[in-house]
Amino acid sequence: MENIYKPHLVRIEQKKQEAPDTYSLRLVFVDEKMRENFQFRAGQFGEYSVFGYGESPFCIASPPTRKGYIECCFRAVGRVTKALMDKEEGDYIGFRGPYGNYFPIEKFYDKNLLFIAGGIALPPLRSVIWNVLDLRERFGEVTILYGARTVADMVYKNELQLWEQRPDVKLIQTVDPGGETPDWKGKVGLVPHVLKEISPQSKNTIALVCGPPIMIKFTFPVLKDLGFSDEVVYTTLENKMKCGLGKCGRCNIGNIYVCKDGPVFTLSQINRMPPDF
Amino acid sequence: MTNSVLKKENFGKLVDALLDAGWRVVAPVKEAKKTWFREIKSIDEMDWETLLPTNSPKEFLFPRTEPILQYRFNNDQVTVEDVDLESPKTAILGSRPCDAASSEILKSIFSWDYQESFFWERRNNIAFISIACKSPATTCFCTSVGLSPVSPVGSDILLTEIEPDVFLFEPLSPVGEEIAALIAQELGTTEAAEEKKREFTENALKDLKSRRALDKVKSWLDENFENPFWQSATEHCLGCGICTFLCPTCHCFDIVDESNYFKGERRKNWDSCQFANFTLHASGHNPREMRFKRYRQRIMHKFKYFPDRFDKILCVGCGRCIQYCPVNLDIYEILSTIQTMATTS
Repeated sequence: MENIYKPHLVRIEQKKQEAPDTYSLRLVFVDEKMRENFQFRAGQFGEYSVFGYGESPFCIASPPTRKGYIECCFRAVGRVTKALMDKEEGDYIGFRGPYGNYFPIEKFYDKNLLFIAGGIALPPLRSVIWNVLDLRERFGEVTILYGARTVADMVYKNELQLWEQRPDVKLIQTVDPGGETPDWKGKVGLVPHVLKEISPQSKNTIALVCGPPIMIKFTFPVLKDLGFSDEVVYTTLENKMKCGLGKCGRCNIGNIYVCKDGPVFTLSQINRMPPDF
Repeated sequence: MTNSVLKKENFGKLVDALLDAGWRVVAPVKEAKKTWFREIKSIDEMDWETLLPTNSPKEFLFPRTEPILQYRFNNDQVTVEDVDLESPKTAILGSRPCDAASSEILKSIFSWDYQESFFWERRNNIAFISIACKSPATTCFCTSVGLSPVSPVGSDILLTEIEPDVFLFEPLSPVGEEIAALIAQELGTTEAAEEKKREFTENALKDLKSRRALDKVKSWLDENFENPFWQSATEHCLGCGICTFLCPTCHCFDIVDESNYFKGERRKNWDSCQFANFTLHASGHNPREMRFKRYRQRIMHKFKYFPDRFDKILCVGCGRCIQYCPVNLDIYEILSTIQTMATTS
């Protein structure tokens, strides 16, 4: 029987600091067959491990449309992520996955897409965003609302610039009041407030929301006011998923295992869960 | 029904036969004033008096700590290897029907979707030689969760003391038959086995008469995630987690690395939903910061979530959590109160 906990070795091909304490890594499978055959869907996650320190679950931040590598983005706050931060290009770490469900991209064809992300929660949506942009003609309008506490806290700054320059993407950036710099050109205000201000249309539109619990809590009612039904609002939950395989018993919300039934849920699914997250 | 019997004086021959056939034999053994499941080399080590050992046999299915992989560092390189899993053929002699049943329940979690090799390689090498309970303890409530002092679930052989020092010997699985063959010449026969067993069962059940059916608990849990009852009922819980460690069905675990400069291991360790950092996020957010939420999770997991998913209650009514709780928090009392609330509302 196969050892379900055994990770694949991956080499760090690229390491970038995205924000203070926040890094992104581009990872390449050491095994050639894995490199060629590894498949995943946007929204799935994996267990990334630093040998000697342990494992942490993050989403796969790169899109499935870009082959040959995967990327992750993390904030160095604990034992594993701090050890991961200390790794350099060329070093080896472990990866097992992909786990969990994913955003049903095919269902989004011909629809407008509204992405709403806060802070370090951009990476899971970034996978979807690039997936969509790589197949651009299949989707309607693409709007991205991204907010962070301060300008420095914004991740993937280069890519935000790329999206801003594209005529087929509408990008709105905002920082919390007090987080702006003198040369800040974006908006100043909390994500739910800015969402209300820009009032995107809900007709034929899917909303994908990811952010800290407090942002999500105040964003959902605004979406409702704008006319989004609970079935077209998607989010991805990040619980403490230790095994990722539905065994270790710590990521459940009611009878739902976030690692197996999630991490991607619609708002109507979330509304049916007990308030245990 | 079989009419084979094994006399108490011949249990030693059973142990010897198992050892000769290469089995590891585990049985209740008295140690430091308590009784524990331990490996034995002779029947003389076995404690016949204590109803239930303090530890459950789950540690022979998944040890409290076990390596799941190992790695070596070599300059900038790392090599990852599987570990050799030790899973000798193990006969658990003197397990009770509740403990044997727990191993059946655990199969669901370790085999849905992903097969967990560590559990299965051990489970496939374990035989439960259970002894039916003549006089259940005051903390027992197996009949409330669908089992009984003579329940065959999970056992390979069930031994029932139908006459003083004479045990009805019922093989219940191919492995049970295999073990029976090892001591075929020591087995005697009895007459009216069925009737004697019925009598034994009736007597054993007398002690459990006061234990109620808990059939309404699930429907109450379905509707009452938020209820002030949770706080009031669990106020005195210390959050020590002993209930989860002694529970034969609690299976939640953690994965940690232990290493030095040259090599390391990744290990799977028992964990407990009663600890605050069980669900603590890296951001500092904790879905179950308060103790009553963690106790609620324990009840909900056992009597709602697990049945929702696997159609089985995650509890065998062994009562260890009642017996060893330092503040006498009684899961049966809580369930019984829920049953009452469900029936009266």
